[in-house]
Amino acid sequence: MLAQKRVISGYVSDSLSKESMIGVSVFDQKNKQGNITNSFGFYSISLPADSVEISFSFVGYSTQIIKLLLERDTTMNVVLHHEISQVKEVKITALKNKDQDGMSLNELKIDPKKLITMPSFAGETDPLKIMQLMPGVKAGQEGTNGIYVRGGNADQNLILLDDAPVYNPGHLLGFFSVFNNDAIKDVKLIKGGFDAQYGGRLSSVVDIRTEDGNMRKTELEGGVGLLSSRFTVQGPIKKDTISYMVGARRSYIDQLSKLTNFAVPYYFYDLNAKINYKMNAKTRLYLSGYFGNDILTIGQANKDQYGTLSGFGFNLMNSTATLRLNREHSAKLFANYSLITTGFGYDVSGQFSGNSILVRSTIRDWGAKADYNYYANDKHFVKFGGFFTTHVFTPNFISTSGEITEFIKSRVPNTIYMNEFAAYASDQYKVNSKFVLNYGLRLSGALVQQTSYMGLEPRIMTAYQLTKKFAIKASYSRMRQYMHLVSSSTVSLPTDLWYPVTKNVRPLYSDQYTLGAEWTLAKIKSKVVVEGYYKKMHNVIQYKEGADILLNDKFENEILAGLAEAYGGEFFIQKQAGRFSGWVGYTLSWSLNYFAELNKGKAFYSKFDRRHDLSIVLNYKVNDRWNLSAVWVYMTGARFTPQIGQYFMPNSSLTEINVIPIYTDRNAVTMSPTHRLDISATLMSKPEKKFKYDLVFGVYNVYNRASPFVVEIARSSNGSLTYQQPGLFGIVPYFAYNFKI
Amino acid sequence: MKRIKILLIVFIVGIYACRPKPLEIDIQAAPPKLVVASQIVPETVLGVIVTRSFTALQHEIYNEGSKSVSQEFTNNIIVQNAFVTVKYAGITDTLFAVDTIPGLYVSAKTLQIPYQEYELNVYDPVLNESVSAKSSMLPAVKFDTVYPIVKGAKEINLKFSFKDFEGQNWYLLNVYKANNNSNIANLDVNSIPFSTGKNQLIQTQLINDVVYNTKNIDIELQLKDVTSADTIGVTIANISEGYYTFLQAQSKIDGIISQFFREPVNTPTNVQNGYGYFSAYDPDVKIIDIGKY
Repeated sequence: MLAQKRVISGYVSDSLSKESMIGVSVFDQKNKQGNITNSFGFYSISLPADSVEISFSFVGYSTQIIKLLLERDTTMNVVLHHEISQVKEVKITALKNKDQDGMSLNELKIDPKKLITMPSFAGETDPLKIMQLMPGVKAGQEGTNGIYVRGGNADQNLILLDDAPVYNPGHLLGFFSVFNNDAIKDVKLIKGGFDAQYGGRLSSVVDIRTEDGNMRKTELEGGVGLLSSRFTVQGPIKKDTISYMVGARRSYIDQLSKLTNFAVPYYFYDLNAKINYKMNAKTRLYLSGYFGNDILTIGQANKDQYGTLSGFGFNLMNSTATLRLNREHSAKLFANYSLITTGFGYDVSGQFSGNSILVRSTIRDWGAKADYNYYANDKHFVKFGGFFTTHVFTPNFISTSGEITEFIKSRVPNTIYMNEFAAYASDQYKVNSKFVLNYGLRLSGALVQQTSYMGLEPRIMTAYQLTKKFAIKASYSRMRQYMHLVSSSTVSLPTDLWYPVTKNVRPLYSDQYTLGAEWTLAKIKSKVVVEGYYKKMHNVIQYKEGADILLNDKFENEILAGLAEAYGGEFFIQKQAGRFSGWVGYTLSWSLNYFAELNKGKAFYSKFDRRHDLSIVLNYKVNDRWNLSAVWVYMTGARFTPQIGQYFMPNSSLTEINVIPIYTDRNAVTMSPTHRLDISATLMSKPEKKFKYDLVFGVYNVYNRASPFVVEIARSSNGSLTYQQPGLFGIVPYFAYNFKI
Repeated sequence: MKRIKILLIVFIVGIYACRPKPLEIDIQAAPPKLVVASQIVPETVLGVIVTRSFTALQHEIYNEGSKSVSQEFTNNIIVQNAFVTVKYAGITDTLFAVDTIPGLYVSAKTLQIPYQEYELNVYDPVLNESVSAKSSMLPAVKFDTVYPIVKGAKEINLKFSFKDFEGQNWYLLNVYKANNNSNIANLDVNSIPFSTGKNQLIQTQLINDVVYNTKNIDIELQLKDVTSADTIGVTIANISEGYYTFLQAQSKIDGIISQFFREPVNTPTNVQNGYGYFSAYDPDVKIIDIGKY
């Protein structure tokens, strides 16, 4: 006879701040069943109506074990306390608690609070850069935070900040991400085996959650670095009921450069804000927003009729706002309703010799979504929901005056509207204690310019625990994407534009298969994950040879659709506990494109087809106050299409001679490998001090090696011309000071 | 404040001084090949220019301090002793070298026969290399009308029309003017489309007939750099799709902007084992004195 089931549910929060905790393991030792808290700290488990022994555990917190006789459905909110010993080991885990199923390299979690000790460029801690150290995630070029996941392009990553997509995640032309580390609570990267709740991009989802705001006391946090400073304050408006968080960051290279008489008239700033209102035991309201700006102003401070900067300048504007309502409809049903707006736009303006030009483009989304978590029973955990978003694209508004109008005409573009929608359902089915199956289906579509697209996206993930220490897993995901970034492959510009699918440019879709295994090496407190993947991407776009996409609103004529495939293997070993921690990540991968009209119809490698990618991250805790870290990265060079010859060719009337370049096949040559060592030492305040600080001393690129980002023809010391590969940054020593009160 | 300033300057200079040395990379250069360009003066002459391609790392192209190509470099790439023939309709014509223009080979006796396939063969005895190319002489297209519309002293449009041939066709329109705008005598009518240095190609329009639904193609083109005092020469030719694609590619690599913002262009060729384009076409030429309109 089956035992009667009871439901135990509630929230897990931090004992000091009362902020909800994501990903806490909730596990009944007696029945060997468990779950983890969701993105809002909620959990629910169905257990036999009997005595239970539930443990709540999370790295850096003391595990709490609660024994009780479960006679009826029970609500139990739990607070976890920080471990007394402050172990500042870097925590990036691909391996979650043993009762979380489907675990693999497909999903990586980063705790932003633990990144401060890691070496970074100029002391600017950046979660997106840390992702570049993980297997399957490749960096674009030095200094940028674009990520290329398993052969996908940079525009195939869905970057979410509190559920709002961020269209331009970079400051300073991508050198830094827009995410202020102090304001971030949780970062999750999904590379494959996607749950049905995610969609809209082919290659990855970066799900970033901001701090909720301390419910108990006011907390100040900040940092001073070489290039920017940041400050975050959070605290209760009404204790245990309403809290707020405001974080701000600004670069000051423009101010410092004034002191050297060498003006760098560029700066960026951003602002994160959030209000968290606990309306009652079952309902919470969150209002969060982000606003960021990159401003370059060279020349006079006059403004034209459109209010834009004169001289030469650009202004890149990113903004998001999310209103979310959490509702625990029952012990088994948790819901999150969101209203979302997000946008990105730029103004690029210039004035010279009586001429002026202004180019403006914007994208703005207005959307709503509903997500439900239904904890049906001890076998089934169901997620379902949907979303609807209207995307408004206003590309290439151009205003010119003066003689330049002969070449560039003023233009008021047609606004393009695209409605995108999706509905999904998935079920995590625990077949038995060893076998878990997560299957789901997503229906997505888009309506744009009297053209509609719709498609199903099946998803399936399995995990089988062969022994206590060894598990295998596999997954299949179909993803669909209804917009893309029109961006030159030769140079990254602030004028890169997002465009929707159209009648002629069809949606992208991909099929990804993964197979992996995981070992636990208890003796050395480590875990090893090995995973292989194969991904086929359809309707991916490339530009025609000689395509001119700068200010070209007829870019459709320059686009070609084709096929891409990527495959490879990833290896990851991580030591999470002890004085000595860190990881080694290695990826062996291939990424190929097939376009009938390009490269004479032959397959060609992607620009960031880097065959080998190795990251070694070491962290040594000397004592309670000192921590040493080192990162060494090695990557096969990016690919490019060099000019290898040239010839003179008269024009069609033999009146002029043109110099015609001869190129190799597309992306046929590989640049020199990139490898770099970064080190840092962190001095932390005494653990018992109320005023906590970190002093980080570091050196970026210790042995001063160029990381090639371009190939150029330059004159060598003997006067002849050679191909050279400059790097952006050499050795850069830095320090950073971080504090928390 | 002064100390901070000094520290900052030292820091910035220090960082700059530590810029890593660029890495050199050895990229295999494209081997030199023969390059062919051809032109026909209607009812007059078939001309072929033969040169040689060179490496991207060639550094002695221009005269010091100027943009003119150095004579020494020109001598190196021009193929002066080639054996050039054209085969068509069972006839083989040998083109002779023009002494005054090194690298130019001409034939005054080659017949221009519509739909006839012409095969060009070039042999360079110095390098012991040969290339070949084939091209069909398409029927000549003729202007039905061609005249300027003067909207202002510097605002001139060109209106022209012609009958489109059956099937899909591609056309090339060129507009020339004399280098000295004021004197009609300076427009060297006989040299069109060859340049003697007096004529200047000011505009090229590539026309693909799929854009037009009518068999009578009627186009109004805004002229650039033309005034109401100019005399212009206008030519139209029926060209092959391959040559159309070649000219399109060529237009995309003009200008410095293209080097930075455009995708690389591999210019197509119909020359076997070489570069360039051998195209046989017969242009229709009109001279227009705009002042008369």
